[in-house]
Amino acid sequence: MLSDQFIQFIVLGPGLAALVAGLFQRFIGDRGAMVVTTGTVGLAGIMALYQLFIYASGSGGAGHVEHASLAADTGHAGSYVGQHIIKLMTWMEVGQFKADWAIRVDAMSIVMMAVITSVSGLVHLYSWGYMEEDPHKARFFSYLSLFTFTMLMLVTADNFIQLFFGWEGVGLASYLLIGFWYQNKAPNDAAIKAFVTNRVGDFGLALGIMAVFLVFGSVEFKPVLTAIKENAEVVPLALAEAGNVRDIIVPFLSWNIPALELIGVLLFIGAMGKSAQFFLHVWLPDAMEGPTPVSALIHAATMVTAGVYLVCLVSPIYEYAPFAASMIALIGAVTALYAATVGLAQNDIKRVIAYSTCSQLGYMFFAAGIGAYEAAMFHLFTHAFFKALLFLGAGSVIHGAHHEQDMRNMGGFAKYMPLTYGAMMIGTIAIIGLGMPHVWGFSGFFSKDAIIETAFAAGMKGVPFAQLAFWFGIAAALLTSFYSWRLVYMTFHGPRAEVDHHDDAHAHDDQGHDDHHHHGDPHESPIVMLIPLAILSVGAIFAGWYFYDAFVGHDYKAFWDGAIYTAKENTVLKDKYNVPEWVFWAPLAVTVTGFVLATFTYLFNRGVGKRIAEGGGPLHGLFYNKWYFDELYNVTLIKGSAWLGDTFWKGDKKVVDGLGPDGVSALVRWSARRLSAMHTGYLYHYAFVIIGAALVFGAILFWRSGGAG
Amino acid sequence: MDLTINHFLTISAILFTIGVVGIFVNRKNIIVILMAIELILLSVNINLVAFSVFSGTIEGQIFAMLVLTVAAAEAAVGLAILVVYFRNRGDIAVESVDLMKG
Amino acid sequence: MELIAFYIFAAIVTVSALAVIMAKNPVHSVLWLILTFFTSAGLFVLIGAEFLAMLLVVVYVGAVAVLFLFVVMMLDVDFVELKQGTLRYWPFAGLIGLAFIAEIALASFARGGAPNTTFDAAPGADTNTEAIGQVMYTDYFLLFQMAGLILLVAMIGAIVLTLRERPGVKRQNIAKQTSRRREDAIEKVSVEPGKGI
Repeated sequence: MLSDQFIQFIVLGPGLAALVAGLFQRFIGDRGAMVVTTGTVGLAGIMALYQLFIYASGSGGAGHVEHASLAADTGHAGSYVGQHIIKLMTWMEVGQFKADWAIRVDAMSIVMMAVITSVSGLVHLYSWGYMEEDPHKARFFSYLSLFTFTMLMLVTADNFIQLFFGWEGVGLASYLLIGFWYQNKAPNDAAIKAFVTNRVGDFGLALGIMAVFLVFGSVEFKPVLTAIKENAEVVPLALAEAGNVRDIIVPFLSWNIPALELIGVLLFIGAMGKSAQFFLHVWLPDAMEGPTPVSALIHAATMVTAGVYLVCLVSPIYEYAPFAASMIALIGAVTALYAATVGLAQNDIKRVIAYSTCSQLGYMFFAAGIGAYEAAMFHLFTHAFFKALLFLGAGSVIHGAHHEQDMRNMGGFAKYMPLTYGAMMIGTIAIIGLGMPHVWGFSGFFSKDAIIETAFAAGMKGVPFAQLAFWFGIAAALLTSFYSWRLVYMTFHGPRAEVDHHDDAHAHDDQGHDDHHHHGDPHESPIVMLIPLAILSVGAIFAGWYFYDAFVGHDYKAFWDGAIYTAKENTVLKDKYNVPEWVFWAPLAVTVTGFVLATFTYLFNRGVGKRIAEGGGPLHGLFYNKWYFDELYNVTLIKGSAWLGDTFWKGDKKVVDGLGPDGVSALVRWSARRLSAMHTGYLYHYAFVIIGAALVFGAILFWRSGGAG
Repeated sequence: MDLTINHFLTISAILFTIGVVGIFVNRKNIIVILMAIELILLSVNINLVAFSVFSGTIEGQIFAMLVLTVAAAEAAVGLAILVVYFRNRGDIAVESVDLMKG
Repeated sequence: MELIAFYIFAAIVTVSALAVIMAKNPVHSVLWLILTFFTSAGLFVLIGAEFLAMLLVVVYVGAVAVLFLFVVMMLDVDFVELKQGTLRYWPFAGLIGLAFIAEIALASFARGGAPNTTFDAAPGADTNTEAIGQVMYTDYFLLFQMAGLILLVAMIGAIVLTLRERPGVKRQNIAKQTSRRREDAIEKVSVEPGKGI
């Protein structure tokens, strides 16, 4: 276990580096900014990975030593096992509302710290090569480190408020990085779309946090989760009557909603926005307007996984909120299949991978929804590595092809960039989950199969939507295999495509790009970009095998050590060993099927894919246009909000302004014109008015003093 | 019947009313307005003196003296203004004093 | 006896006041005003305030009314025929007048009790003048001085308003004359015979 100072360095270091790079670029130059940020984050990554390894080895994996050092460090009376909190500073303390800046160290945050800092460090290094020609390097690196910092704050929060701070912070960093080339219109629009869609989710999250505070009287994780685990008696501040936590009902209009369900649904809405699940997924493909390293870091490995992290962190809630859990399972399963169908028909290399991310996130969510939180975290862990590998590899392709992103214009790149080709192959094999059941496989095999097995086991037990999730997962696995191989074949195999459309509708990330590269053969990327690919390949191959036992295998209880809580009735992780044999082989079968189909379509008969696409059948149209979601949202929500805004604006002008300032001034002008007719200028009129007034005044005085007598 | 204060109050009231009416019924020239104002002041004087005499205090008469003084001063300044006005305008018909119209 | 005198005076005052505002010729108006003043002085004498009566004659008639006469004659105002239109204001004016009288009457005669018939115009002294003199320069001397000030201000005001400098009029400037020095006035010049200055 690392000591407190090192952990503080891991979490706070990137923030400091971001400040230095962002504010002092004119003193230390671009080079200095790059070195500071990459060095800090890289060092943090090495330390965090070291921490993960020694933690895992203490509780599982290669050894079975009971892990005691964490519990010994707690120092809090009554804290639950396996958690250590480093308090940095008091933030707010208002009556019952207490939130601190703190670093929570437990299994969940150790895993996430390792993932975030290592992938971020590799992306920093990669960007040395990828952003070589960009004039704003310092800003880019500063934003990357800012993102790393806020994400670390999110995962190490010990209360909902710091989590929310991190949540919003990564949203901000995402906006800044997607819109990095803000001089063009498309990145700006994409950044705004991402931020606004996130906001919709954040609204749900904020409401959830408020509900937590009102029901539990605290926003810190420990009291809240402990209360749920022990079914303690709580007295809500509002919303409901006192009672045992799991039985509290919130009456709302004519419905009676269990409090835990309400909180669970609201928190999940936040997760939906951040992790681009179905309904709030529309921003993820547009986020590809940002530079590829950004896509690798944020929209593949880390930010989009924040939603999964949140759901798993507050697992006690979902254990006792069956409706919310089933909602998660359903949406996750639907997303997994939906994104896979759309990814089939895309032509931009980054968008295929983006939809692939969306689909894999769906897997993670439905795993969480059926109670297999550990499996969801495991898939999150392995997915970070191979998805980052795929994105960085794609970036290498784009960089080498002089910023060409459309796969239709690629082909036969294998001989120009063999190392990139190797890395992409490894990533593809990892994502499709190739492996021999009961023997060995690449990392995706371990995590995805764990999810599919638990889905079937839960289905056997009757968990809602688990059977559906199982079949959707199988179908999505087939499609995953198909589109992943499609990508490889279209890019690296076959004849070189004719480059005839250089100005595609999709934006190219060719900012700061002089045209000394515009024509010519594609080339391999520089070594700074290849080193991260190599390191990630190692992770993609071995991470699954090495950590399987710790995360979801025999040692999972010791590894998680209370960080993820499951109810006594929830035994899916154990049941997955008892499913029928065909379930173990089903993923392999569909993977091979997808491989065969893709090979047939894209390797041997190269023109078939193109003909299907150009044939333009309804199914292809549906998939290619993302099931028309953007158009649907445009017509209903966007136009609806615009109309509403217009109505309020015009109504405000007419009514409020009309009654208020404009109306009053018009009235004053109208009456002044009429009253000015009284100024005749004639002396005797004035004298008459004086006399008349004196008369009236006298009469008033007379009556006031009591009349005659 | 004997002479009482009411007689004097009545006459004072009548004079006052005549003066007031004279101000705004007159259309001929401004001097008549000034004269009507003198009538008003005169009626006030009569009132004051009557009260002073019939209640046996001398203050009323002192006050009447001061009113007299003020009336004289006001007549002088008013006429001076009138003279200057006439120099600028050429006539003193009340109806043509409408420069402040509007 | 006094009552009859009062009624005569009252009648004359009313008639002449009406005539002031209704006369066509402005000079006539002024003359009627003079009559009004005289008659009210008589009213004052009737109740024993002879000092004020004389004051009225000297100041009002002797100064104010004469001033009016001067201005009327100086301004050379034309006769203005009683225009047809002015007649229609009289009913309205009459209404106002009645309203005023009613108000004053109500205010004055609303007090109860029998009216006082004894009058004393010279409390605390033998004659009215003496009574006024006893308080004027002792209790009320400040007011007296202020009255003087008011008159001074009015005088200055009237002069300032109406004084105009006529161009081209030769006047003496005493200050300039007395501050003349020999050096400015006399100049010694040596004259050549037969040449002149």
